[in-house]
Amino acid sequence: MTPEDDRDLATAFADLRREEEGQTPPFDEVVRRGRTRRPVRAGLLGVRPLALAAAFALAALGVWLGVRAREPRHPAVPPLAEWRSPTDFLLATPGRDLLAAPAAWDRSVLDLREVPLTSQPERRFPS
Amino acid sequence: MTDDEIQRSLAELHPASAGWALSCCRWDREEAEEVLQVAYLKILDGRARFGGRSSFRTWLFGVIRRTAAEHRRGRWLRSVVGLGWRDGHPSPPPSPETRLGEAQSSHALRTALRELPARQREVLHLVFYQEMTLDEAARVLGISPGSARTHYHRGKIALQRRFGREGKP
Repeated sequence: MTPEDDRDLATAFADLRREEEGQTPPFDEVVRRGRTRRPVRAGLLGVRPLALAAAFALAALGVWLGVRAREPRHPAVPPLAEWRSPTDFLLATPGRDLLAAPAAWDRSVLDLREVPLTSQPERRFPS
Repeated sequence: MTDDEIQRSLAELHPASAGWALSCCRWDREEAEEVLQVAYLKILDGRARFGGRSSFRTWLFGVIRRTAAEHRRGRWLRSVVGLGWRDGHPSPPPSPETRLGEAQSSHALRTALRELPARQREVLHLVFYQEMTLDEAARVLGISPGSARTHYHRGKIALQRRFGREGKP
């Protein structure tokens, strides 16, 4: 860009300005028209039905999403402490009571025979 | 500034403001007048207040530019939603003399400017049409002076290329 180019541009813009200034309505007229024109935001009654429908659909969507967000994602899960393995019965072996209560130091092994073998394993079959 | 001073300043700057509004609206006269009306009413009704941090003209041009952007977004939204209403009293169509005048002298420049990116067009308008410095133009556009300088140089080259194609007046 040379200074001559800049001068050409400045001249062209000056012509444009002169031309546009000649077509500009007076300031008071612009303000008066502004005061008398209907506002853009005409309130709810001025809005067309399509806009109302769109607003209603958006509101409904918002409510639905809000309710959905509050619902738990998964059904109620039992606490881990209450969980029992389905094959737990296999551990219920005969003589389990003996294992649970071993002989004390001051007792003979022979005394253990007196303990009746009452605990029979429950017969269960996996389903 | 008092209300009277504001009104007087607006009236003094009105021709320049009208030119700037036209540029912001890509020379859509009807839209430019609506933008100017809304911007003036914002200021006169106290919804936009001059804080004195820059010159009144710089601030006013910023208000017009933001109003034009809001207006454009509003129009787009209404066209998308299907609200085809046109508010207000539309300005009368340009007379044949006006059209002839436009076609004769500045049509090429206007056409070339319309094709430029918005920032480049705005900087060139502010510098050449409004005779602002690059710093003032940067303040109006809310960009750094360096960025304004870049847009200015690129815009001049692009305008020269397009202007040459359209034909100098």
